[in-house]
Amino acid sequence: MPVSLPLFSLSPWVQAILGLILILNLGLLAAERQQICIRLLALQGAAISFLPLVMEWDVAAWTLFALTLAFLFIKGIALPHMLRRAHRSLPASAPVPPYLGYTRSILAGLLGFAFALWLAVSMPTPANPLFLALFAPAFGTILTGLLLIVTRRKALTQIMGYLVMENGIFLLGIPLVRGDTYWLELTVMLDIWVGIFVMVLAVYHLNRAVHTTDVDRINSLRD
Amino acid sequence: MVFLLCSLFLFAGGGLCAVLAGRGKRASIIGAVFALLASLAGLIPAVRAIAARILAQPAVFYLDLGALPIGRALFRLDALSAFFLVPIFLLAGLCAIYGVGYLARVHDSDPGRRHLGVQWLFFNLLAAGLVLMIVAADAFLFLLAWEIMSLAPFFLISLHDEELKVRTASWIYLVAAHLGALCLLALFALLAARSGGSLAFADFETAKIMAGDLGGALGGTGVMFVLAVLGFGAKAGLMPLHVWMPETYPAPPSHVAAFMAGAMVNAGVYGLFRCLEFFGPPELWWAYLLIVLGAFSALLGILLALIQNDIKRSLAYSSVENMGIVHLAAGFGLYAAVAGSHGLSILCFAAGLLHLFNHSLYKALLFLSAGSVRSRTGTAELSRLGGLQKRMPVVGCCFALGAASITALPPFNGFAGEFFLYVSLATGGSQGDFAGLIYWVGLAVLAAVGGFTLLCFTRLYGLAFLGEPRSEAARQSGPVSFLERLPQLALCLLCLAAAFAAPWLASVITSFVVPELGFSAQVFRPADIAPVQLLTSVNSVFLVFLLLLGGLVLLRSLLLRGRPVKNSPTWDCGYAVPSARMQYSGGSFSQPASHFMRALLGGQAHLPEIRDYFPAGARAYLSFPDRIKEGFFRPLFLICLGVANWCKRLQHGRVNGYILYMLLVLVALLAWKVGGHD
Repeated sequence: MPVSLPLFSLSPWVQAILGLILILNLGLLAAERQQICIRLLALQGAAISFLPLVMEWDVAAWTLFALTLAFLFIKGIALPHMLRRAHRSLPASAPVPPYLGYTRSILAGLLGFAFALWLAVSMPTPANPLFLALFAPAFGTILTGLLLIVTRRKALTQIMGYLVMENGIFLLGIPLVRGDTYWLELTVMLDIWVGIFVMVLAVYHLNRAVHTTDVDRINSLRD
Repeated sequence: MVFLLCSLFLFAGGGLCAVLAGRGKRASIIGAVFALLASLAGLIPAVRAIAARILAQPAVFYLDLGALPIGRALFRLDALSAFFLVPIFLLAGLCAIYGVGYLARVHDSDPGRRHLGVQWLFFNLLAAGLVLMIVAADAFLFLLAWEIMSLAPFFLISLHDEELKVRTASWIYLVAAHLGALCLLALFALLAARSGGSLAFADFETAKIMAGDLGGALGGTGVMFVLAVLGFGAKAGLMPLHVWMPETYPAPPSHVAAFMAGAMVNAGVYGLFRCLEFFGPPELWWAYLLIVLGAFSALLGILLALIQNDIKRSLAYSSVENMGIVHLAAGFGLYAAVAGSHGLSILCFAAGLLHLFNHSLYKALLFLSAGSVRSRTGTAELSRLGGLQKRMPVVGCCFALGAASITALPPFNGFAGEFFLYVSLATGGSQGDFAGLIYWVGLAVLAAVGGFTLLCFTRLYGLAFLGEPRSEAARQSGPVSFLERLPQLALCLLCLAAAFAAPWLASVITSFVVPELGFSAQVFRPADIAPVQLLTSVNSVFLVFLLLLGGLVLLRSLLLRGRPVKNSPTWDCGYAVPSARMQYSGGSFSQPASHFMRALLGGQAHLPEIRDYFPAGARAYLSFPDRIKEGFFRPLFLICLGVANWCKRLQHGRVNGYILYMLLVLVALLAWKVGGHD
């Protein structure tokens, strides 16, 4: 069965942003140092923030600008800033390789994206063609986030995994936006925002209490 | 039915009031008074249902209290359920009275340590659960009541939870009860599937007629029958599902043990008999299964009872034996029903039910007496007892009467059921053809069991109550309090009453109770009731014998009146220093029998090797581990433990891993549901 994803029916701007997000996914999987991870994440957040602007939602222009600015502020600046502060407050330590190793992480990320593509083509065709277009990148990003959470040893990188996952969920929600329903995206983001806030605090206190954020060693706390 | 509801509410309300009354003796009194009132209120509808049946009035009472979340609160009281209710109410009241006395002493020995209110809550809940289960006419209500009834003893058993044995016993009980309940859940699910989703018992019965081949799709009624035997057999203590019984019965307070042994085990038999109505025409292999399991339980049960050192453990194994006899009777009842001789089938079932009824009375009596022994001497081990007849004469006489009843000595009440079964089996066996042979085999097993029972209870009574005390505690023991004595005396009277009313009871059961078992309700000719007349004449002969004996005793005391009577020690062959240790011990008493049956029991003798010419200190002892427990259940549960321990690795505490599980499940689900579309 010849399959054509309506990915290429999107405007070139959208295509470019989606492409950037996917490349950044791989970059996140490959990054060794946490500072680089934070930067890549900030870049991914910023890239995603421009999507409302280029997606031609039928909302007033000023709302679009306001939304873009809000997303840009939270995803591109505030969250990375929090992570950076948390990173600085932790003692410097040599990077630990993930459970899976870097090369295999990247391969797993690619496999995840391939799985997402396969899902997209074998899904029953949704009524909204935009959903089909965005499904593969969105789901690929969610899988990348999960992969980061599963394979990384440092608590802070795992938190970044949650953020990447949230970016994927954000992408998945974009086709659902009709008129004033952009609040959906805002609520999801608010959710993650609080979640990350709590997690960063937890990591900070955990480090003060047990002097490590290495999840392998935190495990020894369990009963 | 109003009284029955009152009784249920009194049980439940009494339990709650007892808890509110706190930890002390006040809770005991409140709980017991409510249990007593509930029992009296409950006896009215039970007796009325049977009386109505005898007077040929409409005798099946219904009550519908509306829908439950699943199923309906449907109650049904017919002669069969009324027959099972009578011993429950009798024992609930009597055991409650005993419990007041027993728990008062537990409280005095360590005030405030144990919460008596909670004990009474669960005792009353146990009784209420049993009653509810017996009158439930809806699978959900039945299972609900079954669960209440199964769960409550767990809390009762663990009263003395500072002892390791007691904690182990309550866990074993809990596991066994739930494994049984699991089978029942499957059984009722199958029955509900066959009746098109309805959970009402009435629909199960109609579905059996319409089902035809539909049952085959669900594995047939055979699977249901096996599930019923497993689920209900576990409660009744049928071998090899009996292992919880000898562990559990010695652990709780005696009134709880007596209630469990006298009333709760009946629940298993009731469930099986009730479910026979739902299965449709019985098949031959069902009968064989019940006969084999029953014979096996009876024989091995009594042999194991024979070699126990703990009175209560011995009584527990004897319960296994008695339940074996009941199932043996039911098996022959099914066998006869399949063979088409319905009169014989009814007789066999009647024999089983009669035996069950009598067992309730004397087993409760024996447990209460054994409890008095333990509470006065601090031990129930035969090797530390002895000479108690002089020190607690009432308990000794009660135990003797219970022992005489359980050994089926005529004219005591245990005799009636077994005699009925003997006659039924002989009738079946005299049919002449090859099919009659199995009846004779059953008869032989029954006779062997009877012999061993006699030996077992002679041993229990003889070692505990006769001879000289084997420990200081036994020497120091004294008579028991009035509250503990009263229920025992009442049970003695009930046993004697049941003994003399046996022909009447037998005819009531034969004519009115057994026909309620759906499948054998065909013709029953009055000629088939010949064993009842036989029973009457045997009983009369022994009554005359007893009167003669009593007359002789009277004559003796008349002749001795006014003459000096001197007590002197037994002739001791001139040996100067006899001691209590020179008496028969439990092991030596049963050694010939256990040696004879060693192929079945597989005991080990640990004998010292004597090399020197001059005697030195040495120990010899016999051990008889329960082979089914050690050889089957222990390895089985070790495997389960291994699997469970391996599964623990899945729970390693690493969040990454847990998210990986989610990821894998998510990917697998998506691949399966979404990918499978094209």
